[in-house]
Amino acid sequence: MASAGSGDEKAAAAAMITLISSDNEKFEVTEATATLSQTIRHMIEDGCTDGGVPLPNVTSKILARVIEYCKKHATAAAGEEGSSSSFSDAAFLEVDRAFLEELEEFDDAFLEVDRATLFDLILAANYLDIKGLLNLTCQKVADSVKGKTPEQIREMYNIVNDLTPEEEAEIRRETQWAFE
Amino acid sequence: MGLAGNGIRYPQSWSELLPELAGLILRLLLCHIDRLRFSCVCRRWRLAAQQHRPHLPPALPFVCLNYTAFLSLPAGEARRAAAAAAAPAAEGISCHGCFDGWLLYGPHERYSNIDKCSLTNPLSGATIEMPLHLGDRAKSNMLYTRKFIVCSPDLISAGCSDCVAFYRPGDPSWSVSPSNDNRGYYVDFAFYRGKIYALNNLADELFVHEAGSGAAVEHAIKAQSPNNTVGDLDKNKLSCHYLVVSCTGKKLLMVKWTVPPYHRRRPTTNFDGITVEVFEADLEEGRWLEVSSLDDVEALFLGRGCSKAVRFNGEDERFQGNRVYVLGYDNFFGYCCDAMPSYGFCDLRSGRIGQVRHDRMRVAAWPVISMEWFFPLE
Repeated sequence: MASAGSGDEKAAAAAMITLISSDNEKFEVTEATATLSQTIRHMIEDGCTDGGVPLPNVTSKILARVIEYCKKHATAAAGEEGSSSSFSDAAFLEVDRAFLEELEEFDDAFLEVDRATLFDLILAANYLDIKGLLNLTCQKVADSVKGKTPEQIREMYNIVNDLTPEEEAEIRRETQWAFE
Repeated sequence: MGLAGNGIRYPQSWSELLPELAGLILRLLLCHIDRLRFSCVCRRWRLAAQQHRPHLPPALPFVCLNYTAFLSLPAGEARRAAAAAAAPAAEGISCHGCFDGWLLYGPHERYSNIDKCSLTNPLSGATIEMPLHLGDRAKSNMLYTRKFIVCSPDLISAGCSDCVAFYRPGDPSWSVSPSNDNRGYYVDFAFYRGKIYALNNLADELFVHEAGSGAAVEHAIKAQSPNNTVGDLDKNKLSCHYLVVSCTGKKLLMVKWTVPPYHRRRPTTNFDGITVEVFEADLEEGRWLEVSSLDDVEALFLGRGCSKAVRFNGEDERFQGNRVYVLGYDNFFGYCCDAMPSYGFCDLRSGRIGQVRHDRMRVAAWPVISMEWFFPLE
């Protein structure tokens, strides 16, 4: 189970899908990897993936990262399926735990990106409907704004304060008790 | 906005964050103040926050200290939020309690000629005025009520030791639904499936009160055999029993948090002898069923004024599911006079008891005369 999708021969034997980025780069991925995206899964079910799947909202740079994520997590999903029947088996649990830890490390490293890339990853995860990636990236944003003032958040994310003086006054009224 | 190859406009900067994505992020912010701050960043974020406000899971509760300050922990810092905005202007009125997201105000002096009290939401400013006395029968002063529950904007319930009273805003008086429990008294109450469930002190018996039904309460769970209910007969133990409704609203739970007498715990960091048990009400069979764990993402916050189930899905070690949180870790209940504002928790998976600490408050060291959860309600 742990080897699923890892060997080139196996990957070649599996059904392949071609993804086309907004800048026309083509990526060949296995169906197992591609179907982590619900959007692509539906396209495959509808049989409209011949000639490749154009993804006009995703650049090649971001798509490469997204595929990296999906490959890793598709392997994880395959592992889970394989071991579910023997869940009580201590040896399997041990393997599962090691693998989960590895996956967590992968996720942490994966999120070491600049704010602009993080933004694009969220958009791509949303557009492609990849739940795990969307949760992961949103959690990263949530963690980064915790305990920060609005001004600090603006600075961090390069956001211009476009609130009108009236809105600012309204905010002050609403949040006075909290910001003392 | 940028232009994609096919002419679809797509957002390019953080200020253009799609509302549904802002909603996902807000959902992951456990602290109400973080949510408020998020909504103050720019117009789009503000709009998104307003849109999502009614649909967000409940934020973590604050600790309401002495009815004057609210402390928040989740961001790793203790923040003191003044309740100045909430303080009513009227003279002779003071805060007497904190229930859910409501503060109870009433006459400062016991013998005053003020005959009203009120529940106020300090965030929205909403106020519900109520008669100060239950009526001739009980002569009870509502300021000594054990627990107020705002069932809906049109129905308030007050749980007393010998009755449950209901009030519809605008009515001249409370309607009292007396207890038919003539041996014990009520210790906690919960609003569950449209009715008020009351727990007595004797054998975890459960009674049901309904608005508008007058007296006669349904006896939902009767005393069980001693082996089932009173596990430990050590009378010196302090035991607090709480009723709380699960996150989904489907289960009515009872939690017993038992602590050995204070003098027998040395040092006070020793948790030996502390037990936490969770039971689910099986109303069809009329019994309590012990449960060994909660939902993985569900945590229970237990307090006298309000107990609530909260959903956790974050990475924060201090706030995890399958846990029971209580206030006042240092001495647990009953001795909060010099207790530091902190939470104690019991992890049901491992049985571990630990502490969520307010580091900065150690410096403040003010006398704490009351501690309650405050669940921010918009």
